[in-house]
Amino acid sequence: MTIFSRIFLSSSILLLAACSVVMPVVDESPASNNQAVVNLIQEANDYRDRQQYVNATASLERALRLEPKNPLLWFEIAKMSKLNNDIKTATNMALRAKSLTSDAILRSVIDTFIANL
Amino acid sequence: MPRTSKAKAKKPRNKKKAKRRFSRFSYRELILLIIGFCLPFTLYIFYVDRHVVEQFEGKRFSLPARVYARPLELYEGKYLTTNQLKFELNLLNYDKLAQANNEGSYSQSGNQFSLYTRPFIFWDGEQATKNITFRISNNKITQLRDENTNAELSLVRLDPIKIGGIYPNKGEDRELVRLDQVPDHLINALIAVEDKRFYQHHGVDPKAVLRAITTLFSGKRIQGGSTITQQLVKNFFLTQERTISRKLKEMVMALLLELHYEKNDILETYLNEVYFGQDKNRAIHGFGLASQFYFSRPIEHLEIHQSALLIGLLKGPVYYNPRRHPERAKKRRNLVINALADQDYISKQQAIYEKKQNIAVSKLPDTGQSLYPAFLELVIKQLKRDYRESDLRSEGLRIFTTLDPYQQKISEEAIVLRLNQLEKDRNLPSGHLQAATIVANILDGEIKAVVGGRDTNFQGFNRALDASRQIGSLIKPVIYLTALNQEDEYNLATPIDDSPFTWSENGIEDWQPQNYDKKFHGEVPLWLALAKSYNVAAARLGTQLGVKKIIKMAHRLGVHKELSPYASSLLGTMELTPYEVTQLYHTIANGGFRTPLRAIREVTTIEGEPLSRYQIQTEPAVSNEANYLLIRALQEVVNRGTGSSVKNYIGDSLNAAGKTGTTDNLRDSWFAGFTGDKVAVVWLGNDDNKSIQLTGASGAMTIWGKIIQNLSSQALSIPQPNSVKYAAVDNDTGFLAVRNCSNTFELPFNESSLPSDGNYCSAKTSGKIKSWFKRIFGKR
Repeated sequence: MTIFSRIFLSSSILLLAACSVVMPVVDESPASNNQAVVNLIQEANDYRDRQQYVNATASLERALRLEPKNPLLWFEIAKMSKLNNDIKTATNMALRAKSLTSDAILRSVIDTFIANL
Repeated sequence: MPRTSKAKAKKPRNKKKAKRRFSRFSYRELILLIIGFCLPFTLYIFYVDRHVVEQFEGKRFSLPARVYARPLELYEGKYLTTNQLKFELNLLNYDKLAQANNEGSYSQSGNQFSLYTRPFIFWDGEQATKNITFRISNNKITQLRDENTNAELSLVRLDPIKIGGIYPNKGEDRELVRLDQVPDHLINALIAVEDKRFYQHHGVDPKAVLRAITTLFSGKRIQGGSTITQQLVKNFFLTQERTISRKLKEMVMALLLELHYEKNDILETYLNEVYFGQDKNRAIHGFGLASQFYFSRPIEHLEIHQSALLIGLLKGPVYYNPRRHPERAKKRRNLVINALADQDYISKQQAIYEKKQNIAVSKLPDTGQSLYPAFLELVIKQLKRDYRESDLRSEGLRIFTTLDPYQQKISEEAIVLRLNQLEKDRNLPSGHLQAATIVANILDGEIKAVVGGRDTNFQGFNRALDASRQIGSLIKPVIYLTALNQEDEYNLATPIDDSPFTWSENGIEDWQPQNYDKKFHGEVPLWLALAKSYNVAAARLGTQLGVKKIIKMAHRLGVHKELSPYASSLLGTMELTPYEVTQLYHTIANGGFRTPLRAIREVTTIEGEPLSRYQIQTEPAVSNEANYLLIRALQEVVNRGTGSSVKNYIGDSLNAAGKTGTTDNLRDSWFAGFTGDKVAVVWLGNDDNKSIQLTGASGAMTIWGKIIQNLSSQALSIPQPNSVKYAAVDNDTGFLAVRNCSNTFELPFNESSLPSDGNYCSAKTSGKIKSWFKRIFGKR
């Protein structure tokens, strides 16, 4: 095994391990300490479940007006745009989310999201 | 004799013949005459009938679009001062009571508030009325609860303030009401005074006509005679001219109207049609709006004496205006109350009670067509991309905007106050100075305030949107961003040459830019050249980079206008409006993400059905790293550059960034700046482009400072890109510190542009810089 293959393999294992830890952490952590924001995200999820993506985005934007620097809210809008087949907006919102966080795990998750668009 | 008898005998025959001839002629002619007269008349009746039915069947009223400010959202931890809350409640016409016990009222006890909110249909659905309570402690909302159940509430949205309308061409405004909304006593009063036999006649009341004719022949002034139906016909189909032919036409149309429509349909239309006076250029029509306009309450909640006052107004809305002539209005109102009692609609005792009530009309809203005409114009401009103007002026659309009335108020006050002061200080004639400003949120691009001039109610030239002026040094950040975007060649400490410079270009006179202080400063670090706004350094750098490249960068930052590719553009001879400058600086403030500025959130139909939503759009326009470095340099403009005196207004804590702009002969004074959550641009100048003897710092920046001083604002703090590291910079020279690491401050650098051996004073360590980095990092 060449040195490059070893590096590639170990990086892949590390990335996989990181992802297996990362995804649940991002999904399970509360997006905000503000109950109003949490409720609006829940409202957005309810709309999403009914495939009402425009309303879902509206709820998230309302939450964003309360916490405009919350990267998770931008990322949620990105996800909603993806569900609504608006890939350009999904990419841009995800990039905005990434620019607002220095959290390496979240940045990595966002990169994965963009790569999979 | 026989002749005679013949003749005699002939005469009757001739007579008979003539009679017969005449009879034949007259019958035929009579029929022809009848046909001749009746046919046109019949055709005319058909024509009028068709006209009446068509207009009555179709849309009866053009309804203005209603434009709302953003609703105030209440939640735990929200920054809100008691002054701001009271300002909003005042604009919403909430009544302050000892106990908030009906919709649209509030009570206050110390810092404890109780609100009884109004129901409202938003874009995302109906919000029911709520009785809530909360405290304001240290300018933050706490203990937000349901007053009745004491349950915690996470978020409450107040009904939004109506900030104007987009009106039909005559400026008519009305709020449609259904007959079942209208209190019985109002209808009784109307019938008692205007048309006692409304439910008996067929559109025209013969008794009333006879009475009118009698008064006409008696030489008295023509009075009365018109039924409610006739009045409606006059207002709806005809002019106000006083001629017999118009009166006859009115009668015909009234009969036809009653032939086709129910009495209640006619009555309801009348209630929505009638005129109640002017609010500047806004015409108040219909009882629904009149009830709000004079009593700040829905029609359902009118009391008898209030209804009587409105009925009294119908005779002459100007003459009986209760705000200007309360005594006249009261006399007229009491006549209406008497009529109600005389016709047994109310008892004598009730009439006595009602007549004792004061004429308590609400404060004149005095808004005209809009409280904030400059902002409304922006809304209309943005709406016209998606809606026909005719629809905006007739369909009763509901427009939900981004305007923050409190930020608007603060911006207006700052402009008026500072312009008066500046004129006084400089002995300038009153009115010499004009100004405009735009305030926007950074993250979502929502426009919060627009002021188009010092007369904030003026509905004409809107300088914020339409005054294209030279922008002076406001262009410099675009030049330096273009440089910083070339990270291998430029960083904040790169030396920029500020020695004499001549630019030659074919067909154009040689150009020799000068600095404001008429001096040259040799090699200066990039950040300092920007902070001190050195013209020569910027011009040289710009020409080295290429003017086209700078213009391309301006377009990337959001300027759509075509810009001339001359070198002089580098010193701001290009002309932009305050709105365009705001978009440009917004992209910088927004971390290099271009987000189109928005004044509208949503649009619904009159019934509240969603029509459109204007979602946030954003896209990366420039490198995050280069933009980060630029912002740091713009903070130095405020820290120690041309904008440092703004700290007299806003202090140090906001870490604000900004740029001053001044044009030749001191014609324009600009300041564009931002905090952690707001970007604001102020222009100050003279409409005739005369010198105002003010620089960006001494003029526009003082207004900017006043605005930000009076608004809550977050400190500017942007997430540091991974590839950016801080290094120490010599306080005296401004270049990267190498030997003396004690007298320093820190600036950010792209890691790749820092000496790879660490030979420099970093934020924590010190060292020496290698000579080959000297070109990039400076002399020492």
